[in-house]
Amino acid sequence: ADALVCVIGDEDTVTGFLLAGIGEVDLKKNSNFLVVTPKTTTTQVEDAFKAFTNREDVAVVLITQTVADSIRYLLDEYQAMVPTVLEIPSKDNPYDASKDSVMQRILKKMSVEK
Amino acid sequence: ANELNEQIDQELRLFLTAIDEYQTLSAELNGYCKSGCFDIARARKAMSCEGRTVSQLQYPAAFTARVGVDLDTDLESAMTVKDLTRAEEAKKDEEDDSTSKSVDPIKWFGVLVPQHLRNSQRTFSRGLEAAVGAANAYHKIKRHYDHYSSLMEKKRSQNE
Repeated sequence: ADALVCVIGDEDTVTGFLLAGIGEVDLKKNSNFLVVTPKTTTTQVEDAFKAFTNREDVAVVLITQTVADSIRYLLDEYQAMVPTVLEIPSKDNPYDASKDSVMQRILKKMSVEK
Repeated sequence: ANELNEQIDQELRLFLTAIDEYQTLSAELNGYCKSGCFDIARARKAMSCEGRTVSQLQYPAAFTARVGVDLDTDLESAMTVKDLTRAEEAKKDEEDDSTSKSVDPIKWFGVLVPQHLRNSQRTFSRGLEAAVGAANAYHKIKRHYDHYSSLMEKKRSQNE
């Protein structure tokens, strides 16, 4: 089945992935991306994350780590395999591999089952 | 018991291989994102001399995805990057909806764009492939870990 890739992040990262062709905006202004600026509220980011991860036509959600940090509790609660949520580096901040939510989820699972 | 132990070892090996694959692809994805953003910044600098820029203000009001993912639920959510424009062209023959025609996104920023912007497009396309690869590796990690856990549970029940 055909599915989309969503992206939540700074303008340049989102623009980059839109250049790659993943972006979509329909006539009702529903989109599969969110450009996060200093004016974007945490609620808007939360709403976008929840909307993208609840869509049945989405396979992957890319989110920059800086934005992911602002809604870390939502990512920690998220357990579904599809859409797969992947963290990517922000334009202005170095990527911290120790915060990678995928690896954190695996390590947590392993420590619980010990 | 030996056969069970071999199965456990095999699943553990596959689990660790999948983790290694995920970390490699994740590192590649990170590299592509950084490089792609750097090229966008360079393109923006080059275009600023002509009074042009690269920003979300150039995004059209409506557009369709040209690239997506083929999600194979039968193969436990295996994913591959897919060109969606061919399906759209077939649909174009049936209906004429000019507002949803997909255009190469690089054209949003002008007819003649700096090479850096084209480089960025290529880099982020590779980044997309790496992202889908990393997602597949994550699915493998979970699958092998679940198999490993169930085999360990079976071994524990046999030992009791």
